[in-house]
Amino acid sequence: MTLSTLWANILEKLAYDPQSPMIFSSGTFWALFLLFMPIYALLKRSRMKMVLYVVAFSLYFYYKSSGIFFLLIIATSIIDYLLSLLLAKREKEWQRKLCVLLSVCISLGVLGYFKYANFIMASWADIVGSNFQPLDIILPVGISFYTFQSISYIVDVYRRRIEPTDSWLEYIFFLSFFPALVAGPIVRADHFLPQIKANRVPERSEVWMGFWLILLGIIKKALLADYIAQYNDIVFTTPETYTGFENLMAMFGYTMQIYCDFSGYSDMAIGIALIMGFTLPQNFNLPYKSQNVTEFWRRWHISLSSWLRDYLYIPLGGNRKGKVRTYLNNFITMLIGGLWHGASWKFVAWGGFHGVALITHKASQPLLSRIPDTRIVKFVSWLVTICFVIFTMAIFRVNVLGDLWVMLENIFTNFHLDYLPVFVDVRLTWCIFMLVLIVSHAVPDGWWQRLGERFAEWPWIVKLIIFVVVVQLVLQFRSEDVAPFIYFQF
Amino acid sequence: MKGPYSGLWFLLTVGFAIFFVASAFGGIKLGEIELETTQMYAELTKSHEPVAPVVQEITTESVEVESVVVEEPRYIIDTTPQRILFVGDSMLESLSPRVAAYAKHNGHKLHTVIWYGSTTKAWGTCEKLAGYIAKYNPTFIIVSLGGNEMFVRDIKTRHLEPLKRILEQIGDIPYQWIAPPNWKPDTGINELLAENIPANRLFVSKDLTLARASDKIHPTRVAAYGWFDLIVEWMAENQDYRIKLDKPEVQTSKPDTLEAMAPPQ
Repeated sequence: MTLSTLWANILEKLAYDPQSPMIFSSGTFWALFLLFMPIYALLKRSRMKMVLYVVAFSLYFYYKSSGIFFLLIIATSIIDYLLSLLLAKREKEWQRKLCVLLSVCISLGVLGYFKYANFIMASWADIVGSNFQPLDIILPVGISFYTFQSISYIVDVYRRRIEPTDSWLEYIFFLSFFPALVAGPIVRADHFLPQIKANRVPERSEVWMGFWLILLGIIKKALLADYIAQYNDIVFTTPETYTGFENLMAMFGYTMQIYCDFSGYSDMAIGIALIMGFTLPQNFNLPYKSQNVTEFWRRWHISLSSWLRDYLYIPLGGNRKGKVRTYLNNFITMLIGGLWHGASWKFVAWGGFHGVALITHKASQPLLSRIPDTRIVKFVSWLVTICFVIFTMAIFRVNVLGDLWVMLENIFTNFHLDYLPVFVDVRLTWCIFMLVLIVSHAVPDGWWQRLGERFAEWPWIVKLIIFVVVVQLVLQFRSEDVAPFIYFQF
Repeated sequence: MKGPYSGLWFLLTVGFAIFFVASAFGGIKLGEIELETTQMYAELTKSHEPVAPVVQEITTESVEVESVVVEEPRYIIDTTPQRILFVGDSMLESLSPRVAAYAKHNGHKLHTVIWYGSTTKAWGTCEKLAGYIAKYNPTFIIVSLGGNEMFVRDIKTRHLEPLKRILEQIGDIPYQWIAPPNWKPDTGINELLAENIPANRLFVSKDLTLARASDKIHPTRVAAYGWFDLIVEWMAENQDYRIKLDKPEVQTSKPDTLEAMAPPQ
C-alpha cells in the first residue's frame, strides 16, 4: 500500500456516493466525527467560528447524503431568511401574511415537486385512465424534515414568538444542523435559536449522556432493527406463501423494527447534539406502552405530532369550533401527517385509520371515563391499542395494500399455534431480540434516563468495553442469516 | 484536548483503533466464534490500479484447416473481480447465500434478484432482466429457472420463444444456467433448456439426489450449499467462460444487493 493509494481511498470515501449516504451508524461518519470533535471543542469559545464550522460540516454532511442537493437547502435558507427580515419590518397585516404565504408556498412547492409530483400525476392518470411515465425525480434526503422546520420558523416570526435570526448563518445553522438534518427530530426555532445564541459548553456528564444515547441508538438501529428486518422483509415480500402465524409474527416484528429503526436514529441524533451542547426535543417515549391512540401520538414521533398540532390542527380551528369541526380537523391533520411520510395512498390510508381512531377515542371519552381504571381495564386498553398499532404499521410496510388483506386473511384463516415451538426453535435469535424489546418497554418511565445518568458515572474503561461490545455485536449479527423459510429447518 | 470532550474523544479513538487493527488482521476467534471485522482496512488499502484480465488458455483442440494446424481456445479463465447478477425463482433463497460466500471470497460483487414463482415465460415476456442488466451492468450472469414449470404441457413450443428472449436479453454476457432439481419427472423443461442453451453453460440438476425441505420441492439449505458446490466444480470443468470461484472458508454470506419480487400475476 502506498500513500497515494491510501489518499485516493480516503478521497473516494469523502466523495458523494449515492449508494452509501452518510448515516450515523456508518464508519465514515464516526471517523469524521473523531476529526470534527477536537476542532469543534477548540472553536466553541467563539460563537461565530463555531457556527461557521458547524454549518460547513452540516452542508458537507448533506452533500454526502444528497449530493448536489445541498445547494437546495442553501437556496431555501436564503429565501426564508430574506422573507423573515421583510416580514419583521412590515406592520400591515396583509403584507406580513403575504410574506408568510410566499415562504410557505415556496417551501411546500419544492417539497411538492420532489416528493409528490409523480404521485399526483400517477393518481391523475389513474383517474382519467391515461398512461403515465414517471418523471426522473430524485428525492433529496431529509427534505420533509427541514421543510417543516422552515415553515415553523417563518410562522413563528409572523406570530411574533421569535425574532428573525441575527444573521443568515444562524438561520442555516438551525435549518441544516447535521444531527437532525436527515431524519429529525423536527427542531422548532423557538427552542433551538436561543441555544445558538447561548453557545453553552456541555457538562462532562452531558457528553457521556449523549454517548449513552448514541449507544442505545446503535443497539436499536444497527443491531435490533436491522436483524429483525431480515425476517420481516422475507414475509412481507410474499405474504401469501406463509402461514397466519408467520404473517402475524412479521407484522409484530415490523412494528418493533420501525420503532427501533426510527427511535434509534433519533436517539443518535439527540445524543450527538447533546455532546455538542444542544438539546433536541424528545422524539419517542416508549410508544408501545400506550393505552389509547391519543396517548400513542403523545409518545410516537413527538416532534412531528406536536408540529402538526401547532401548525396545522390549531390553525384549522383545533377544538374551538364545535365537535364536528374538531373531529374533521383531527382527521385532516392525520391524513396530511400520513401523506408527509410518503407519496403513496397507503400512507394516506395509514393517516386515515389513525384519524378515525383518534376521533373514536375522543367521541367515546364520556363513556370510557365511567369505566373504573382497574388493571384488567388497563391491560385490555393496551391490548386494543397495540393491536391497532400493529395493524396500521403493516399498512406502512406492505408493498401494495392488497397484501394487507392477504396477511389478515392468512392470520384469520390459516393460524396454527403449533408453529410457535418450531418458530422459536428456528428463529431463536429473532425471538430473543423481540423479547428484549418487549422487556425494554415494560420498564417504568424514566428508567432508561436514570440508567444513562449512572452510565455517565461509570469508569472510562467500562464505557470503552461497552462500546466495543456493542459495535462487535452489530458486526456479528450483521452477517448472520435469518432462515427465509421456516420449513427448511424442520 | 481539554474540557468535557477529552474522555469521549479518547474512547472513540481507542475504539476506532481496535476495530481498525482487527480489520487489518482478521480471523480473530473468541473460543469457537470467529469475530466479524469491519472493512476499514480493506477499503483504505484497496488498489485502484486497473487489473488486466488474466486470460489463460487451459487446453486447446487441434483443428486442421488446409493442412495448417490452428490452436483454437475452447475456454478462458477470467480472474478479474466480476459483477455477478443472479436471477431466478425461489430456488435462489437457498442458493444465494452460498453464491454470495463464493462471490465475497473471490472478490466479486453479487446482485441477487429473486422473483418468487417465476418461470422462463415470466422472465421472457417482460424486460425485467434487461432492466437489471442495465442497472447492475453485470460481467457474469447466473440464472436458476425452471422449477415452476415442471409440469407445463407442450412446454417445448409454448416456452421456447420466452427462453430465446431471455437469452437475447443476456446477449454477449457470459452466463451459467442452473436447470431445476427435479422432484418428479418433468414434461420437457430440461429438454427445452438443453436444446437451446450451450452444453457448457447449462448445469443439469435433474438427476441429483438432494435432501428436500418439508414441501418436498425445495432443497434444504444445507443441500443447496452442496448443490452449488457441485455447480462450481462442474463450471471449473465445463464452462466456456470461467471466473474465479475458489471455495470459501465460510459457508454463507450475503449478496451485495438483494431484490425480491412477488410472484407474477
